[in-house]
Amino acid sequence: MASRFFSTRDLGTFDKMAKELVNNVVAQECVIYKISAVETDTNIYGEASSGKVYEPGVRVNALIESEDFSFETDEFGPDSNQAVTFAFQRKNLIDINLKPEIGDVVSWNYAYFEINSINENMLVGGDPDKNFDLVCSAHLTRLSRVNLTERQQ
Amino acid sequence: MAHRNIPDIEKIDPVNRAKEIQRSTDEFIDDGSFTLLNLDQSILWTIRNKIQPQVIDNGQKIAVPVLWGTAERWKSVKTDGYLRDIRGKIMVPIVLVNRTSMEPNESLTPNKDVKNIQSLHYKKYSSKNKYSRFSVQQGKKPTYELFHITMPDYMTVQYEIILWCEYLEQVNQLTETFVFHEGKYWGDPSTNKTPYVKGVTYEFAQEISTDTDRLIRTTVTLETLAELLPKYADGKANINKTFAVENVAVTFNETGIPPELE
Repeated sequence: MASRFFSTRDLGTFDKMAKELVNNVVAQECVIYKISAVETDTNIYGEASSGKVYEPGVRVNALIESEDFSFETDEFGPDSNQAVTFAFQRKNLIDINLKPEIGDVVSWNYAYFEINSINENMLVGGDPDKNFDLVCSAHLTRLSRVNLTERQQ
Repeated sequence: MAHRNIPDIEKIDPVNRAKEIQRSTDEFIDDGSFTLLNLDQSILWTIRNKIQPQVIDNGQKIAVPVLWGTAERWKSVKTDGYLRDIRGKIMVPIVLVNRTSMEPNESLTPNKDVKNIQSLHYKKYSSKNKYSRFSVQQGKKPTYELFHITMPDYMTVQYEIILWCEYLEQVNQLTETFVFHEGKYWGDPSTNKTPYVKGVTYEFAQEISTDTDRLIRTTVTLETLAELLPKYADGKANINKTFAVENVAVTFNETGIPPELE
């Protein structure tokens, strides 16, 4: 049953305004690399030790919130970490046919972040069919883990 | 009247010029000491030069860097900066060495109350024993260069080697290499500082949490019997060339038993 508020027209307005805000006003960009589960071989431990294969990176605009870097110092020396939240407009992702998933890698600010959780909880008017955004929580991942850059010897 | 405050050490140990003997530079190759630094160097030398840990990463064979644990922060960031990415995140694989414990070996404990327990050694070769017909005809005895060496303390020292990789398959490769090399003498064979090292335990850690990367590590505990001897015991050198048999000709004249003794 169509609700009195948040009609399709209203939602279209929200989408249009949000798209303009994310793409033209804030204009924070990141690149999403999705792991190709078909092409990536795994061993008996469930790890891609022979190398991960990624789909080509897709440039997407998002609202990005980053926490401060934290350095944990142990016997290996200082090791940095950072938690970042990437908030994507759902309509934007549907337009480019992209669905970020846990384990995918996002490149932003000259670093790589592995998505560790996904939140799709902004339901306009509480309606599950009017899901508005997709928020990915990610952490700074090791360069040696993503296999996206040439390894120096 | 001013008095010079003479420290006790000057009163006890005045310089004895009689002991200040010139020696050729090649006489002592080694001072006989075996310090913890030597032991640590032997362990690191073997891992870096004999074991040479390598893993296959993304189809490429890469040499695994070996570090001593708990370095100073500046060293970790500047000298070992190549192990981190632009954001300061450590890249693995990496091998870390740490000395964790040391205890006296009870079965090899000397009586420490006795002063200056020393062992006596001699060099088989001496440059002074040159072969000549004269020395053979005269029946000269060869000269032995004798050395008194302070007895070392036998300590059991344990090391912890952390093998940290991205994948369990890589950790397996490194662990197998360490298993192969345990039970051997470690250290540079050109020195006499090659302790026997055996593996004690191999502990595997595989952790995964929500907001950090997966952690794959093996902790290898190695044990070695070290003959520790400081560079200067009681403020004196450990090796003393105290006595050398005189290079003398010995002749015996046959004489009968004196009649008064018969």
